Amino acid sequence: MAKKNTVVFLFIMILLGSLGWASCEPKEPECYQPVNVTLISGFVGRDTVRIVDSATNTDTFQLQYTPRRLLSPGMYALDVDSLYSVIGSANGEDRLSVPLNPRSDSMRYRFLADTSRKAAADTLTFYYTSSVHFISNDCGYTNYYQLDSVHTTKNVVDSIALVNNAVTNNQTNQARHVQLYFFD
Amino acid sequence: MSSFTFLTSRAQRFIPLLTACLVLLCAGVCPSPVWAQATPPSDTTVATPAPDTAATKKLPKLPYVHQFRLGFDLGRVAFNLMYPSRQGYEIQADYAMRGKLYAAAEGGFGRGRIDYDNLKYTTSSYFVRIGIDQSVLDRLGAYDFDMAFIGVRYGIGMGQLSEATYLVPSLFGPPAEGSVPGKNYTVHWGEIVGGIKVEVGKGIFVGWNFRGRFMFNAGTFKELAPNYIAGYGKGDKSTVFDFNLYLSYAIRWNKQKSSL
Repeated sequence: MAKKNTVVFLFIMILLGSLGWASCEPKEPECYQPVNVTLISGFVGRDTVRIVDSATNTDTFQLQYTPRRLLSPGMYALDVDSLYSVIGSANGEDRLSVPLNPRSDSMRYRFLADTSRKAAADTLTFYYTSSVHFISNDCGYTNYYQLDSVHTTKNVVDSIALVNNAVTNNQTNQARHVQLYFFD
Repeated sequence: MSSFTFLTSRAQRFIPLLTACLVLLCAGVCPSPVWAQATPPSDTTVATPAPDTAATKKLPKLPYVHQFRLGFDLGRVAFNLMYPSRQGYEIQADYAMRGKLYAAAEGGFGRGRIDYDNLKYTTSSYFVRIGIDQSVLDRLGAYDFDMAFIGVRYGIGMGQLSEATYLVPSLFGPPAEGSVPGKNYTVHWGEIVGGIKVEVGKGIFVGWNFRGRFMFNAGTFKELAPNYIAGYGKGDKSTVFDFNLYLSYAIRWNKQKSSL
């Protein structure tokens, strides 16, 4: 009889133990995924490499496009009520992430390659289509964007290219949606 | 040997198994029943274990005794207390077939509720699971229905989602409001289950089991997934794991005298 009671005791212990594992339900949702979706602009520079062939006594110039770190880049949202800006670090960044406005189908940003030089600025315009996307019960909904086209003025920036038109929260650190080209 | 004495001795064999599992549950490790049978109790100081005649000799064929067992999941009740937003109730039944095979069926219902600032809805559902369990322990007598088992299940659940209202945050103004119309849904899944059931009184069983579930039609919930589907768990997960604690009662008929 004592052994049988032990089995019952263990059953109750497991039952109580299962209560112990389960922490009390949190009052706030526990969201571990990014909710704010951002568009990533990468910077690309052009370098010219001179290759000398002594045998034929000819020079070859090769153009190389590589990620370009800017000293202190910045982007300032235009045409929106809130004053929103993104400033890169002084150590240099080769990309900046900015949000889009889901209530509009286009958005403009004032771009500074170096925030200490206010005069050298360009205006970037992003045209897109937004859609509501369910993330999870804890994270709720967010907006995804489909980039249609991008434009830029050419004061500092040479050109702009759309490389990935899907702006979602499922992106790697290396992801870039547009690239800004700088030719010295 | 009386039936009661036999049941008591049978329960004694599970003591090491239950104790070891209780200690190792946090690590998610459970010893196999074979190991538990071969290991003497920790308080036994026997240099050479006595040979297990049941394991080394072929057991005689047992007379067939019908058993129908009905259980209630107490673990779900504990879960309900801890998670008010996910309420569920489950019952389980099995029927002893010949050999060590059991036909099993489970059913229940549940409700879910999400009441966050950015998302609100309710859901209700019910389910049925059917499958088989294979005991890995040899039966020592016609009345011996203690089991350590593995099994498989097929589950199907049906439910309703109410209209969901949500807010999408924006850095450039107030959050945008939206809603998703309510809908009915059906999901089905497969399960792998393993656990034990021990008779602790005349016809009264206690036991637990672990389950791994794999939803077959996870794409159903691309737009909005219910936070709780009865019998399955979180709707936004295509693979879930669960734990049950059953208290069961068994009835038997066409009893014949055990050969042991």
